[in-house]
Amino acid sequence: MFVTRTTPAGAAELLAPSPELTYERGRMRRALLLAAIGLFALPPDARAQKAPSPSPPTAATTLVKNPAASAAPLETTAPTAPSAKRPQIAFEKLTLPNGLGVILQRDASLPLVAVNIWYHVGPRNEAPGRSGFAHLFEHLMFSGSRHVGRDFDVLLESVGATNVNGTTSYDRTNYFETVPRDQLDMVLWIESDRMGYLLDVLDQGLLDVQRDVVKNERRQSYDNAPYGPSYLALLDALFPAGHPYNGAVIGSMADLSAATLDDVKGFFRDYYTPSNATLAIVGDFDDAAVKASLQKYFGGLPNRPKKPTPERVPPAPRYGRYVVEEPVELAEVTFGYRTPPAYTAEDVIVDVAMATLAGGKATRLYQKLVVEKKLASDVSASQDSNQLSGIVTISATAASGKSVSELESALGEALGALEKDGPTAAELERAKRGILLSTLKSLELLNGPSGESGRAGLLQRFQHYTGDPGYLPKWVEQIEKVSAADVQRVLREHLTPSKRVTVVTQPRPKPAVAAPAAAEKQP
Amino acid sequence: MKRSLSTGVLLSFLLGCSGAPAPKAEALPGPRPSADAAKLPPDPEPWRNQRPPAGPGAELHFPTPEQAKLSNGLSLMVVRRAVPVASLSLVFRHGAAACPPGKSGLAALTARLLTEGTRKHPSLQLAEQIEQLGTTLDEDVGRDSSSLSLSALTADLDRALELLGEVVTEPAFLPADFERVQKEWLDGLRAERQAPERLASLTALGTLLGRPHGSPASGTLADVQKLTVKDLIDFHRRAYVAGDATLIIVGDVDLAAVQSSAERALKRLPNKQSRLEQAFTAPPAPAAKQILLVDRPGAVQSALAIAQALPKRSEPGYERRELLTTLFGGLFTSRLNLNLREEHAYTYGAHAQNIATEHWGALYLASNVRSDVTAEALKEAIAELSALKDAKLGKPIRAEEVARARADLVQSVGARLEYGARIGSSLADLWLHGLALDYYRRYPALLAAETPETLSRAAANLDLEHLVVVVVGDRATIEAPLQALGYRVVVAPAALIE
Repeated sequence: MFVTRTTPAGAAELLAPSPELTYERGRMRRALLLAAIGLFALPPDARAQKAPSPSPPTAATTLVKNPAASAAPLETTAPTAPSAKRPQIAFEKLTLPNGLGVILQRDASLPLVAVNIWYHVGPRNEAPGRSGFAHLFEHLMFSGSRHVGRDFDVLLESVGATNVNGTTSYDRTNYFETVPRDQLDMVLWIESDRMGYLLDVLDQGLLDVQRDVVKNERRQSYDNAPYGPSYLALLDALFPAGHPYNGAVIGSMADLSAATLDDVKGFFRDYYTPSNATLAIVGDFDDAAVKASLQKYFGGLPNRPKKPTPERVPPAPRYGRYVVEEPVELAEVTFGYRTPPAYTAEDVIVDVAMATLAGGKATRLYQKLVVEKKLASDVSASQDSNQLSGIVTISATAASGKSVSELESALGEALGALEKDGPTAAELERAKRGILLSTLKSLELLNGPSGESGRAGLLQRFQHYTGDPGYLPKWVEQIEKVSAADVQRVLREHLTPSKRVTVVTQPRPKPAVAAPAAAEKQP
Repeated sequence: MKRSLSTGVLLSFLLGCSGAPAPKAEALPGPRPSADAAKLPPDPEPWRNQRPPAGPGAELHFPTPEQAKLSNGLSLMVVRRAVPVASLSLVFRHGAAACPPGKSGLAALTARLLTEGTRKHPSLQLAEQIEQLGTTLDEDVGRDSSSLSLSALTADLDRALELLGEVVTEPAFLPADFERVQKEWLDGLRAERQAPERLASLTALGTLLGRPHGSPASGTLADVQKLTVKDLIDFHRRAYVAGDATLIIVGDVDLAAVQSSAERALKRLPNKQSRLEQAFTAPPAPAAKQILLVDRPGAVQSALAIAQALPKRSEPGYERRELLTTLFGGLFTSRLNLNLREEHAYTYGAHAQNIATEHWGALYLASNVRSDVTAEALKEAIAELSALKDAKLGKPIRAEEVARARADLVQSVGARLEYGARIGSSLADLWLHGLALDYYRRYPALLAAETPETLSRAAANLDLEHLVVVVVGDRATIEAPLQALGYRVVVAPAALIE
């Protein structure tokens, strides 16, 4: 799950209140909200429901810093020799003396270059009582810096920057933009200046405005959105108070209100340090020139140690069944589960399992609940992979006039059947091919809409979770190896009824329709 | 969000194109330190005050497709690209605008049912065949087109084409599939209408355009309930014809290789053209100073929408209208977003766009705003529109913001080149609107011909007295403040959102 500074660029057409929604786009919005996407956040034209949400690989909670302290290239391709048929992203990885990690991929097929910087900090590092803070801070990173001034967005838009955004997910925060190749130095100037000189211009007024913008974001994405309150209830039960992921990424209104300017300054000093960041550059650049620029713009920023986050014993989920009333017409049932950390063997298996359940018309839940039993009008299944815990949401929207409890039973039975019998060979094959094809399509992009797909996004994602930007072929190999028995095992161990949080969204009874206002109230 | 949706139209009633010289490159804003310099610690890197100069640039080149015609007249376009996954799209020139009064949703439901089974492969089998390729067959029906798209590994391209051909030439249209899909579709419409911004757009465009053009492409509940499988069969017969279709393939293939496969797959499409589009007659202008209200008791935000008619896509001045709406509401740093979000914090984002179809155009402004500042937000949005229209109000259109909008539009075309499916949909737009295939190459020059003066003249044609204004929110909180602004608040006709 990630929350963004603005509506994610790639999803813009899906999320924005488009008056020209074609028929499938109405659903997309909800699918994005609920599924909150794992890895392959959608390529620009993909349909949310159809993109399997594979989450690339690892359990590594400690980032592996590249041992190379100089600007010498370490490796130019994936270090192992994967099967020639598995996709890989060629790259070069280096580390500046101040600890800043850099990943380069040169591709001159278009005169564009994407810059994507990940700070390895997120809600998991927030202090108690400060839910939503990492994301609020992300907004403030666009407020200006000492030398660039406050016209950050104007500068970028003046040169035609595209896919400009910042996003926050549980374990990381990213900032990215794609620009014509002649503007690469300007972007490095801007990114380095806010890494080094943000606090020099931050003030209370800027904090207050962005705090209110973020509260509006929460209203728009959750409080006032269909099934939004239900999704927050689900997350709250999966990650109760005391868990580092508590409060969703967006945070509570009370905690957002409580954030102070001193919190902002402390967070910057503790986590926004070169050695806690990785910069990816993908596109058309000159290799020697970019290395000189990296040294010039980032080399002088002093390193500071990252503040260690105290290990907490996370509280267990509040398993059970919750009913949320909302002003919707169609009831919905969602099963939520915690799953193993990103890129563990189990994480990959869960991705494959989800792709057998929902996505295309030949998937299990669609066939069983929509086509055969006609209890549901829509189904979805996805995993959001993270360092401490993955989040699986399996959801079915009731067909009108159908009983939600009958739907809930049928959903449980369908999962039980998958656990008991396993997926068929054909189901497994379709799921794996779907994941592979959407991965290959994602690789066409210099950078993806959430900054965690596309080539820059994937390199960063693999670096963040596995310490190896070249992990892609290994991850694909993991996918290829998933067996029916594996799927049965993860369902049995992690997606059982006893480890389930169920949220049922019930339509709130409608009040009587009021008489037309104008006739009575206007003179 | 950085850019709101695309599409443009504008308001000038068209000043053909002036021979205005291209504007000089505008000085970009430089550093503007905002904090009190005296309070800052000593600067360890004062050289940073110098903005880096631009490096060597390069022009973006939109690819020109190779073209051919199949024996039945179907147009074929191929863009060769060294990627492992090919994108295929079969586009027909008939969409929502071809649906007769009382039959909204017909084009959309027809496209959907095509993907529900053929005479060779019943529903589940067809889905399995397609998903076996790792893909899904997506249908998309807009105002002016119906399209079916899928992607496939290069090695699977022939199979993908074969399935695509089977779907459009041998659909089963089984009554049982129709009944199931119709119910599912109606629930999809109900789900859509749970979102406040969707209620706002249905109300605003329904009012601005009337029926049938103001009906959603997905249909109204009332209309879709009445559709029959016979309606769909009939629409398929008339709309899915080779003379009104183009097949666009972007991938690692050459024209000759793909032409024979396409011929085999699609030769059964009849070699003819159809005239199905409904005439468009604009309804009377909306009442002055009126707000259409949709009550959502207890809502913490209001969905605000403002709409106004603009020229349709083919009217001259399209690029000017694009520039105008982009600087007004398309950029992150647009006038509208900077005001409503960055200055007042009324919203998470405010956008305006230019919708341009074959039959009509519209300026469409939308924002979700906090309930208790709904009236203030509306007031600011109207004030920005007024300032755009009337340079004397203190915010004349500046060369710098025109340059910023231009850069954004040009580079947004560039960003489409990253992704095969987007190259395909860009070419489909050219084909649909009858534009030359070198349009995107000429696009930067077309934009560069526009100046603050040409945009100001276009903006002066805005009719701010007759805007369609819609608010979807908590009536108890917002009605009185909206009335206090001088608006007559009327409950929106329920038929618009059904």
